[in-house]
Order: sequence, then C-alpha cells, then structure tokens
Amino acid sequence: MRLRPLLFLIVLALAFFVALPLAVDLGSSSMNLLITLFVYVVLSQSWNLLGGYAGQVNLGAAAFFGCGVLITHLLWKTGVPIYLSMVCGALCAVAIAALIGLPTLHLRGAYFAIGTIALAEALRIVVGNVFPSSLSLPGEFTKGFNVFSRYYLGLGVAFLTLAAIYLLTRSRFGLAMTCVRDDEEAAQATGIDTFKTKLTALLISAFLAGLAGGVYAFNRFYFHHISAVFEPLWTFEPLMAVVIGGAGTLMGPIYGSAFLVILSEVFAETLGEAHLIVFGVLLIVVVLRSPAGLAGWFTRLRSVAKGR
Amino acid sequence: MDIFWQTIVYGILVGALYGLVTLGLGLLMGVMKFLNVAHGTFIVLGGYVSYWLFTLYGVNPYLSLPAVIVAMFLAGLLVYRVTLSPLLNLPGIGERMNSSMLVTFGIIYVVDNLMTILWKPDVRSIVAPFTGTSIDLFGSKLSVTGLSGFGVALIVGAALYLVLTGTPFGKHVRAATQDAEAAELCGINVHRTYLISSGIALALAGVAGTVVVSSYSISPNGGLRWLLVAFVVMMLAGEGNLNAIIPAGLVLGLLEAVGVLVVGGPYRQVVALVVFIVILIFRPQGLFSRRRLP
Amino acid sequence: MLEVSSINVFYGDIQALWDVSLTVREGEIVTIIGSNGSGKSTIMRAITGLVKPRDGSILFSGALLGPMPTHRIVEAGISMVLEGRRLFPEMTVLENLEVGASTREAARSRHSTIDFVFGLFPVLKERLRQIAGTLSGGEQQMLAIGRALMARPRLLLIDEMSLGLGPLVVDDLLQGIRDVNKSKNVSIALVEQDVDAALSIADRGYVVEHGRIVAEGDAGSLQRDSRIMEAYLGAPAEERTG
Repeated sequence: MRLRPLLFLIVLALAFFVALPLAVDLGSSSMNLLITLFVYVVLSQSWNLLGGYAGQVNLGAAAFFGCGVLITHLLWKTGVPIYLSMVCGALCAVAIAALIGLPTLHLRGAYFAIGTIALAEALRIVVGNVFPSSLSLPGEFTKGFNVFSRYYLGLGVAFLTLAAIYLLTRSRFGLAMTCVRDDEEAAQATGIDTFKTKLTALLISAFLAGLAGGVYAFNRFYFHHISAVFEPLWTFEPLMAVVIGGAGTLMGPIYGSAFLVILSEVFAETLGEAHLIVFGVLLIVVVLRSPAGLAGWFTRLRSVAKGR
Repeated sequence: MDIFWQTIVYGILVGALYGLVTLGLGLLMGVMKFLNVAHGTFIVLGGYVSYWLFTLYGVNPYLSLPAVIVAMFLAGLLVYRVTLSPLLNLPGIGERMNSSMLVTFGIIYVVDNLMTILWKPDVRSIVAPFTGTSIDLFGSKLSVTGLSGFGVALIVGAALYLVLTGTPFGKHVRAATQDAEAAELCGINVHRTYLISSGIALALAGVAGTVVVSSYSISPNGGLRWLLVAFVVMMLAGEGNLNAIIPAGLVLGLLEAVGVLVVGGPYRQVVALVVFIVILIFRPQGLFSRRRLP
Repeated sequence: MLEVSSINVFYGDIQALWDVSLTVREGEIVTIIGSNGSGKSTIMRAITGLVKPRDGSILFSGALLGPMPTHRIVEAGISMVLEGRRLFPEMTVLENLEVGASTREAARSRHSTIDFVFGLFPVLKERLRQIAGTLSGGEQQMLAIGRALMARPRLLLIDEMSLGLGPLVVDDLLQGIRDVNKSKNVSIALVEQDVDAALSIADRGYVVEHGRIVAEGDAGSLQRDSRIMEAYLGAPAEERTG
C-alpha cells in the first residue's frame, strides 16, 4: 500500500478504536476480548519482526512475554507506577534476550531456535520454583480497577508498536533485516553486519514482547501459577498468528491475531481443547502450501480484482 | 564419598538414556538438515504405545519394544510423506531448516493435544514388578530400570552404528548426509533414503519413550523436557556426529548429576541450559567434533 | 546416443539456457567450452536431472530423460563428476568408490570395476584407507572420476576437471580419460575452461556463451578457428606455440 491511503486507514482505525467504548456500551467481556486482541497484536508483531523480517525463528518468545508479565506485576504491586513497571518488564526481557542472543546469533539458525526453547523452559521451571503459589494484587488495586484505562493502554501500546514496526521495516535497518533473511552470506558480502542486525532485531522484538506482557499483567488480578505465562502456548499463538496471517508483512500479524482471537472464541464453545489441534493443522498447512499466509492471499485477490 | 560414587553411577545411567533419547533427533538433523522440534512429542507417543501394551495386555515394556519400533517406524514414514518431503523442494538450506522448525512446531500442537484428548493429561508410568528395585554394586545402588535403560541405550546405539557402517543402506545414509547431490549421482535414491531414515528416527524416539515410561513417567505435554535434553546432547556431540551421541549423553548425564548436587533437583534443567550456553560460547562445534564451525 | 534438443532451463525466474541442442555419439569424446557462468555446468546438470528443463527434450539411447529422477538416470547409464569433485569428505577412498557402485548392476560387478579404476589411477590403491578430505587435489579428482566410473556408465560427464590443478596432473587425468574412452568405449562429455586440454583429447566440441551454443565442430576446426582461440586463450591461433 502506498503511504497516504495507508496512513489514512491507520488514523481511521485508531479513531474507531478510541471511540468505540465511548460510543457503544461493550460490556467488560467484549472489552477484555479487545484487550486480548491488542496483546496478541503486539506479541505477534514482535515475533514477526524477528521471524518474518529478519528470518530468525524464535521458538521461545514466551520467555520475553513472561518476563514482562512477571516483572510488571511484581513492580506494580509494590507501588511503582504501571508505565514504569511495564518498561522495566520490557527491559528485563531485553536482558534475557541478550543472554541467549549473544552466543547463538553468530551461528546457524537452528542454534538460536534451540536456545530460545531452552531459555523459555528454564525460566518456566525457575519461576515456578521461586513462585510456587499464587500471586495476586492487593485489595486497593482491585478497588480502583477501571477497564477503560486498560483498554486504552492496550490500544496505545498496540498502535505505538505498529508505528514502530512501520518505521523500522521501512528504514535501512529494515532492508538489512530482509537481506539477512534472504541470504545471510550475500548480505555479509555487501558489508552488512549480520550479527548486529540479528541482535538488534532480537532485542527490539524482546522489548515489544515484554510490553505485551506488561499490558497483560495490567489486566489481571490473580495468577494461579505465574509460571504459566512462560508456557510454550505463548510462543505458539503469536507464531501461528504470524504464519497464518503472513510473515514479513505489516498487516499479516494483524490478520493473524484477529483470526486467532475470533476462532478461539468460536471454538471455545464447540471444541474446547481440540481447537489447538485445528490451529496446529492450520499452521502446518499454511507453511507447506501457502507460506505467504492471509496477507499473500489478499494481495493476490487485489491483483485479480485489478485485472492483472 | 559414597554420595560421590552414587552420583557418578547415577549420572552414567541417566547419561546413557540421554544419548538414546538424542539418537532420533541427531539422525534427522544429520541426514536431512531438518530440526524436528516435535521429537519430544514422539518420544512421549512411543511411551504411550508401550504403556498401553503393558496396561491393557500386560506386556513387559522391554518385550513390547518390537511393536513400538514398528508402530513408530510407520509413523515416521507418514510424517515424512505428509509434512517433511514437501520441504525438500525449498531452495535454501536456511529456508528448509526454518520451515522444518515451523512445521514440526505445528506437529507438537496437533499430536500433544490429540494425546491429551485421547488419554487425558494424567502422568503415566509403567509400574512393573521390577520397578523400584535395585542392585547393589560396588557399594552403590543401581536401579534395575536405570540399568535396563542403560542396556537398551548401548544395544540400540551399537545397532545403529553397525547399520550405518556395515550395511549398504547405512552407506547410503552417510553419503546422503555428507553430500546429497553427489549421493544421488552415485545412483542412490536419496528420497527413499530420507523416507526410511525418518522411519528409523521416529522408531528411535519410540524406543527412548519406552525406556522413559518405565524409568520415569510421561504425560502429553512432557515431550519438551526430553527435547531439550536431546538438543543439548546433540550440541555436545557435534552436528552430524552420530557416533558421538551416546558419549555426549554420558557427559551431560554426569555434568547434570554433579550440578544437581550443587543447585538441587528442581533446577536440573537450568544446569542443562547453562551447559548449553557454555559450550556454545567456547566450543560450538561440540566436544567430539574435529571440525571448526563456519 | 545422447540427444539434447532445444532445452530451455530456468533457475527460478532466471533463464540460464536458451534453446540448447547437442549430441554425443557412441565412443565419442565431446567437449563443451566457454567462460565462467556461460551455462556449461547447467547443461550437465540438466542431462543428469539435477535441474529440469522447462521445454525441449533429452534422449539417451532413445529413452526420454525428462521425467526420470537423477538416480534412475544414473541407472540408465549416465554418470557425472561434479564441479569441485564433491567427494564424501568423511569417507575413505575405498568407501567413496564403493558408494559409487550403488546401483544394482554396478554393485554386482564392483570388484572388476574397482580393479579397472586401480589400473587407471594406481595411486588410489595406495591410499585406500585414507579419508577423502585429506587427499591432494589431483588425487581427489582421480577419486571423483573413479567413483563415477564405479557406476559403469556408458556416458561419463565431467565438469571442470582441471580447476586448481597443475598441468602435469591434468595430463595424467586426460590420459586416464582417454584410456576409459578407448578401452571401455565409454562416451565422454567434458566441460572445461582449459580449452587446450579439452581440445587435445576431444573429437568434437561445442562453444557456449551466455547460455547459448555459439559454435560447434570437430576439435581440429575449433582449434583453427582464430576467433574462438582469441576469445578463450587471448592470442591468435598462429602465434601460439606447441
């Protein structure tokens, strides 16, 4: 899409979402659904930056998300303002990302993927041991609970993320990332510091995932087992959203997140656990048959419509 | 001092199992350069086959191994046909590797949740007459299940070695591993070699699963833990270095056993992660490889 | 024996060969010369099925090679020595040779074939248990040719044999190829940048430029063609010594 129409659409969408809860009485469950959508949009955009644009498959994104949730919750509980807690959570995610990125990114992709899985699982276990019982917010917090502030925070973070991704992917850095993705050797030969490019993409991705965790933490009073936020499902769902939506595109993660959230709602009634099986099959089918995902499909539809 | 020897013995027994667990993953990675992140899931699946044969028909897990092998071999052929062979059409090795990770990640969700639905999320293990018994050797207690696991690991490892070095098929596998195009030009049907290798890889996972369900336990989501073990062992052994996998497993087993003495049982996997990171920094080509990593 | 007719080969969207036709008759040695990137290797890869032409056909003793996978083409009697030798680096000389005889027919007669290869390149017999990656360049090339011969081909394709090798070694290799051709009546197609070496043993040759055949003829007339010699050797035919 060219600049003007895209910008116009984005402003329109922003206005829509800002106005929506003011104009219509959505009820808290719909609001929560939208907040969940915002979290998924940020999370999937973060995965897409590293996986779709820079070509590094992160199988342990839950580690960054979980870090954001945990640190935000803990800090906020002790009185640190929510915005600051969220940023700290995101920075924490960046720190552990560096821990796994530095040794693995100058090797082949498989090592990074393995490292991220190991990291997420190790964190899940350690956190599960350090915080074995439930975590909850003290009474004062629940009294002041206001779903609107959560909605707007989530909306704000989502749009900031989109803006950041938009700018990043259209910059020289964005070009460097796609070069590294398409042919790392060739990219190196043209003078791109591939390690630095990959690491930067990783750190930004981790920061965004951590922010998503912050939004999630802001929205919850009670965690039965906090280690659950480090579970592989929190990697699978954004990954799935990106692949099905279309990796390496701006809109792909958005289509995918919407698809994911809507289908989860639909299936929760009928299939229950089995809905994950459907998602798994979808993921496999998309990777094998139409790697460009929904975004690619829409692009082809547009070309057909234009008569090409 | 007794604790020390007990730890060493335990580390060796567990280490052999770790090597066994890794064989299937290493084979697929070496031959096809695919990373099968669903490997842990297949180990659990093999464990379930053995578990049900024991629970429903009373078959001793070690006697049910042939059935497990056949079932998982067939599963491997299916997985190759449906999900892995289309990836061979992709141009670059990097793309193939990434896609294999994504596809097998999807398989985890399909198979894990199928198992959860079919067999419920409960933790299962085989409690046979010999479970929990142990033999006293040199002042240390060796559990019978640990010993049998050790035995299976060595036998299977040796069998795989013999197949790879002594049989024509094994030569085809090694040739395809080292240069698939050149192998094809020698008249080797590389696709069929890949197909059979996939069957063998999953059969190996199944054997590991049988030992795991007899010595420990399995649950539908429990594959990740074994996948991580396999990753670390594979790294220690060095890429494509199948012969070093059992020794590398022993190394991890010992390091873990000693590490757990220091940090405590619940942090066992953290020890593995630390080992992983340390090796990556100082010797990314693995402990047993002569090559340097590009 | 081998008839390549008007093949067009693409790598993705990029066309590498345009309407290429050539033939190799029984017992012949044919060479394909041209500069780097001209498409010579692509022709070889198309013949052995490593890349499939979009149009045109390749016939070998009357059989259409198009639909066959590479290992079937090898079974049918075509063998190739890849550019860069592409030995199995972690296998010994003996293992490399044995793997070369992986088709059923070749496996049956591998003992006599291996003796023939040793007769051709005796140094291989001396280095039987040595790991292939540790051999010298010339020995590696001999092993690569020997491995290809283990498949008992009727047509042997050799891609860039002389790269990185000194003239004496190249002479040895050429002698070996001549022996194979004469004693076993194996047809040879040789892709070469070393035009002198190639034309010294070839019966006929094709010149490839930018994916098209620009000249063909018997070796003698190509050698006398001053344009070609200037293009590839940088000096007019009369001024060259030897």
